[in-house]
Order: sequence, then structure tokens, then C-alpha cells
Amino acid sequence: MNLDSARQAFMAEVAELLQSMEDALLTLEEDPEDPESLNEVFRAMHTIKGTGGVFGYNSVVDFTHQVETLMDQVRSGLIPLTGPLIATLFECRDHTARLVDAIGDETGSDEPPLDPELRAAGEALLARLGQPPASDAPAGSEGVADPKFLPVASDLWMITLKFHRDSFRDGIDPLSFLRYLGSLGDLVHVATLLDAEPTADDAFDPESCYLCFGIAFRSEADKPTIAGVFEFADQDCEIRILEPDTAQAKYLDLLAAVPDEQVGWLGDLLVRIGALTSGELAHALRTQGSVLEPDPDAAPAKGKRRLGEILVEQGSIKPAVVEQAVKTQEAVRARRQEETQHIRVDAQRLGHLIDLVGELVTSSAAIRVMVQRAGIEDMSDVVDGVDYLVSEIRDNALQLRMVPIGDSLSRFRRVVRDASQELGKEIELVITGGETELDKTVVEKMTDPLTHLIRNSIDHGIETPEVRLGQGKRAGGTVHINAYHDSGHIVIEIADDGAGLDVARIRAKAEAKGLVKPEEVLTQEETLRLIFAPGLSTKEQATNLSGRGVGMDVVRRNIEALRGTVELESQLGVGTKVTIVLPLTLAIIDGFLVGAGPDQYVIPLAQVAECVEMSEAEAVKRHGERYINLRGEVLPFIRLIDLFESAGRDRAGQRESLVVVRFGHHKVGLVVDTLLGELQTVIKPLGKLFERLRGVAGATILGTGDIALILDVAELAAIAEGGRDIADKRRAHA
Amino acid sequence: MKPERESTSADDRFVHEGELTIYTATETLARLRAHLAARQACDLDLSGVSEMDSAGLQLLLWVRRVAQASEARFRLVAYSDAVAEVLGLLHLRILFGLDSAHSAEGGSA
Repeated sequence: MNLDSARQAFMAEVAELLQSMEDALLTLEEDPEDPESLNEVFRAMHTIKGTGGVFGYNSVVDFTHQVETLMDQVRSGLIPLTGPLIATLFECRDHTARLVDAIGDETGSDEPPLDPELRAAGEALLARLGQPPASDAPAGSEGVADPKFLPVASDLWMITLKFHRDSFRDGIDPLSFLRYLGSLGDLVHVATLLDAEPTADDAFDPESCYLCFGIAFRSEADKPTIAGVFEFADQDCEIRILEPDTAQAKYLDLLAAVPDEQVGWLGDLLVRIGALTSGELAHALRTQGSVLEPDPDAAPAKGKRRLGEILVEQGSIKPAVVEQAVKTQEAVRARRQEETQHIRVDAQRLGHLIDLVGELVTSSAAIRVMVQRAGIEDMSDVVDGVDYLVSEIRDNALQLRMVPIGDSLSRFRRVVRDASQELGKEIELVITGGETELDKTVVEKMTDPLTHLIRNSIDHGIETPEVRLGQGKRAGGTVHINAYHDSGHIVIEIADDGAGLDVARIRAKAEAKGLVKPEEVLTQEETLRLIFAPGLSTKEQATNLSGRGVGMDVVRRNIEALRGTVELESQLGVGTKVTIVLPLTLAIIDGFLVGAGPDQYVIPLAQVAECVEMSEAEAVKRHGERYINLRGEVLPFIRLIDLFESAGRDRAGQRESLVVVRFGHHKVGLVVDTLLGELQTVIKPLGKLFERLRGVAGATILGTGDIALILDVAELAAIAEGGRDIADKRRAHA
Repeated sequence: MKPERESTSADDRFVHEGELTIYTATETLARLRAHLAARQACDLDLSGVSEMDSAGLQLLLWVRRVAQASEARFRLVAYSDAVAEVLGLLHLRILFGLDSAHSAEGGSA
């Protein structure tokens, strides 16, 4: 790994960590005591510091170290987490991002000198956190040097035994355990105590056991061996075994050296290195599971106590060992997430792989055609097998680029938070369907349009709390992002419960701009769509038109470039909903091949609803020129031959088929000559020359080497609905 | 000290022989209580004890403590190896005055 790619990896990791820190901070704004989120912030800073240290980025290490220290204090309850502190932590997060960016900009040396302005900003932030400026703290105070060693006072084990009253009756003789213990080492001192009041002589039952022992024990044996001595008394005795400080040092060393793959749960880890016995662990886990917080003041709002806490309280282990174990565990957990659950792959390599799979699909289609032509029976089985494998490879390759859309949507929480604070509005962002998967390249290209739409909702859709209350709405507005899959597409909805769009004003502005003639009659949807027109996108118009015009044409262009569509619903005073429909992937689809005239066309299979004999459908009844009655449903249809004006033969009396395609809630029939079956289709974009061609999404190369056009069902639906207009225009041209 | 010395060998002496264990604990305690109630002094002779377990040890500790609380005299004046072993194991020899008393013993290492 050369320096550059290492740096890239570092930056990517930091970006992820900062994102999770931001999420955690947002959670903390609502629930300042959420222990998971507190840990998350701490962990992010800690890990960035650690990784930064490895790469020698001292500016990052110095800064994050201070924030980490602070977070540690917050975590342990020494410093209260206030609103202003969270705000400052947000800034710290941003500052860290800037520090890392500064590294990214630098191409030469490992350790670029820190921009004095950036340094000053960092010091100011730290001052607000009440931490000393970074330069005062020695950098790289990492790892083993850090843990707080208790002064090494003795090499003695401290064993406490308290036997239950019934021990004698259960046949336990405590002395035998001490004798056995004596065989393992030296009983340096034994304190024998009676757990009974000397004044209550009458209450003393000589057959009950009142014995307690405190034993100072010197031995080379490890903890499991020593605990094993008392195994038989487990049910009759409370046992505490505290390791000597020397053993503690040994544990700390062991913890630092535990191989990653052996690190699991905290308890298991401690048992593994011998610092804890499984009996002690089981006991602590029982405590954790069953006992509710006995002291309500001690830890409010905490359902479960931390295992380490219980273990220390239970006297099974010393705090320093738990601390080190937790550190080891966290470090490994962080590393493991990076290493074993994910492999970072260059997006270009993936792209290349998918291109190759595309070629493979085309080649395998060519083989199929050859085999069919040659009429070799034996071969067709093999070809079927190859086809199946190729389609599996294709699906898996495409799956590699699929990412849950939620990852990119969650960044909008910050956008909403910042903007609503700025504008003095109360806005809640609700994200549903975040697990819906989408091609990463599509996700990236959708970021800008989505940001735009959400900003619009915040800026101009949602009203101020006063206005909202005045209209009888809740003071806080909601922006709802929802994503789901629908027939080979992903649908993203951005809905707000704000003011909605004023159709009359849009109309007025559009007329003023000359986009619409005053005598033209437009439906509400058509009027709403006007805001996607370029003419309505100037700043000045924006304020007059509730700002919805700002760059909406750009939004539409971006989405259409992805072969997607955008629709708008709005009701004045109730809210606005923008629905974006995008294809899942840009590369390969399952297609349905049809022939019309001399040409062949591919319809995305996911959008094919059914195929019907046209004669049969015709027999029902025709409504005018462009509609048929399909089982009682009025269905617009298009003849592909007419649409693409292909030089058709005389088709009188020829059989035709009707392919019903579906797009969202639209349905449209396509009249074709022949149905040729399913095939895997590699989408090749058409050149600039065909940019204006409507109803075509791209082209593909068939196994025969012929070219077939891939139909854009969304556009066809639009054409069919406005069918008359086109027909009229055609006629006018002719 | 002299009168005590004399009385020691006579009335105050409490002799226990055989087992000093859970099986004899109740009975032994009753005898010790009666002895202490009558004399306010106890010179314990355990030289005939063949076996002592935790319950026996606990009994000694308890009686010693009760005697101290009521300001009665409680001494271990003679003991067997079995008793010495237990007291040695638990580092109780000094508490029961073993090392200053007579009777060399083997006991624990």
C-alpha cells in the first residue's frame, strides 16, 4: 500500500467515523444521557486519534486527544453534557474534518505543517471545551503508556470467603478448602472472622456456619486454578478472588497482546486471559440481568448496568484491568468492522467488472443464437447452464454496487438540523425505508437533487411555528423521506406538511414569463409541473413563488439523466410531496424482446404486466383512435411502428400483440408484431444525436449482432396520455 | 497469679476428648456454657481431641468471644496435634496463646 492509498483509506475511515459521531450527537441532542451515543462519540474521537497516530498526523492526534479526554469525562459523569457543549462538539467534529481535509490536500510530506488559521480555530474550540491547547499535551500518548497502574504494593492474592449458614449441614468443611489452597502456595495471612453478634449468645447455633476468611495468598498459580479450589463450595460460599498487582500487570500485558480474533465479549475476554473465572462471570451476568438498579440516584435512565461495573463491585476484578479490557475490546471491534465485514474496493474496479459482465452477457447471447442456428440439440442444455450462470454473475456483480440508501439519507439530518436552527423553525426529519438498496453511482448522483428538494421543503414549505399554530397545525413541521422498491425501480418520496404550492401564483408567473398562453387550459398537475421549467428558476421568482422554483429544472435534469422521473403533488396549506422514481441500476437489466416492423425493441421486463393478442382486444371495442377496452379497463396504446415511423410493410391482416406495460400507477399498451422472449440486456447509452428521441432509454446489442432499442416506459406512458397531441402535431407536419 | 494457677488444674479445667466436630458441637457448647456460667473461667484442655473440623473451630472462636464479652477467663491450656494443625493453618496460634504455652507440637508447616 503506498502512501497515497493509505491516506485515502484513512480519510475514508475518518469520514465514516465522523458521520457516526454526528449521528450520535444528533441523538444526544434529544437524549443527553444515551450511553451508546456517548460511547460512539468517544469511540469516534478515540479511533481517529489512534489511526491518525499510526499515520503520524499529529495535528489530528493532538486535537482529537483533547476531545476524547473530555468525552471520557462526560462518559464517566464528571462533566454534564449540556446543549452548548453538544453544539461545541458538533464544531469539533467539523474541525476534525477540516484537519483531515488539510492532510488530503497535501501531496508531499507525511506531516504537512498546520495552517496557523486552522490551529488557532482548534485552540479556540479546545478552550471552549475547557481543555488545554493541544500543543501542551504530549502527542502520541497512546496505548500501553496510558493505563493507570495502581502502585505495585504486593504480589499477594486477596481471597475472601464467606460461607453460608447451611454450609456445615450441606457437608462442607471450610477448613478442607484452606488446606487445599495451602497446597498451591503460601497462606501468608489468614483472618478468621465470625459473622455473628457476640451479645446474642442464645441465637448462636453451633451447627450453623458463621465463618468468614480473609486470606492473603502467595502463589504462582493463575486465577482459574485458584478459583478451582473453591469450585466445590460454589453454592455454599461467596468467593472473591482479587489478583495481586503483579498479576494485574500481567493481565494488562496479556490484554494488549490478545490476538484480534479471540476478542469477543468483555466477560469472555477476561475469562480467557484468566483474570476472571467463569463462575464470577456467570454471577455478574445474573446480577446484570436480574437486579434492577438498587439506588435510583446512582444511575438514572440506565436500564442495564455495565458488566465491568458489576464485576468491580462484586470484587472479582480490579478496575484497571476492566478498563484495559474494554479498550482492547473497542479497538478490536473498530478494526474488525473495517477488516472482516467490509473490504474496500476501488469503485473503478467494480465498474470495470460490471462492464466485463456486460460483455459476457452479450457474448453468451451470441452463443445462444449460433447454437440455435446450427441446430445442435446437445449444446442447448449447456448454453442454458451458461446463461443461468451468467445471469447469476450479473446479479451478484450488480449487487456489489448496491448500498442501502439510508446511509446517504442520514446526512440530511444534519442539513435539517442546521437549517431549522438557522430559520427558527421546528422541523423533524423522518426517514423510512432507509434499508432500500440502490446502485452506489445512482446514490451519489442523487445527493444534490435530494439536498435541493429537502432545502426547499425546509426553507419554503414548512412555516414558522407561529404561522403553523395560527393555522391549527402542530408547531413542529415534518419532512418525511421514504424509499421503497417498485417493479425494478426505486421510489423516493420527499413529503412535507408545510404550506403547499399556490397553483394560481405559479400560473400567473408562468404567464408573465411567457411559458403559458393565457387561453391555455392546464390541469393542476400540469400547472405544478411548470415549476420544473427553466424559465421559473431565477432567484427573484423564488421568493415570490415560495422558492420552489429554485433550480427545480436542474433537479429534473439530474433525475432524468439517471433515466428517472420526478412527480409533484401539492395541496395548498396541507403540504407537498415530490416523488422520484429511479431505475435500480444503470448497467444491465432483464429485458423483454419484441419485434415491430423491421426493428426489435427491448422492454424492461420488470415493467411488463401482460401480453395479449391484439385481435382479441380489438374485438372488444375500440374507443376512438388510441384507446382500447381491455377487460373493461380503458387502456391507452401506442403502435411502435407509428411511434418510431419505421418503414413498415403493409401490415393489413397481420397478427399483432399487445404488451401491457406498467409505470407506477400508469398503464399503457404497446402494439408490436412479434414477441421474441426474455433476454439479459446490457444498456448502452445512445449518443448525443438521439438525445431528443422520446421513448427510448438506450440501446443494446443482441446476440445476432443486431441493435435493439430499449424503450423508456415512463416516457411512453406520458406520450400515450398526451397521445392526441402528438398525433395532431404529426398530422399538422404532414 | 498463683491462686489462679491452683484453680486452673482443679475446677476451671474443661476437658474435651474425642471429636470436636459438627457432631459434638451442640452438646459441647451446652457444656461450655454451663461451665462458664458456673465459674466465669475456663481452662480448656483439648489434649484428648482426636479430630477438629470447622464447626469445632467455630465453637472455640465463639466461646472465646462470648467469654471475653462477659469478662470471663478463657484459655487453651492443652491441645493435641489435630487442634494445633487447624490453629496453625488459620494463623490462630497467637490468638489462642499456643506459642507461649507449653506442649511442643508438630502441626502444620
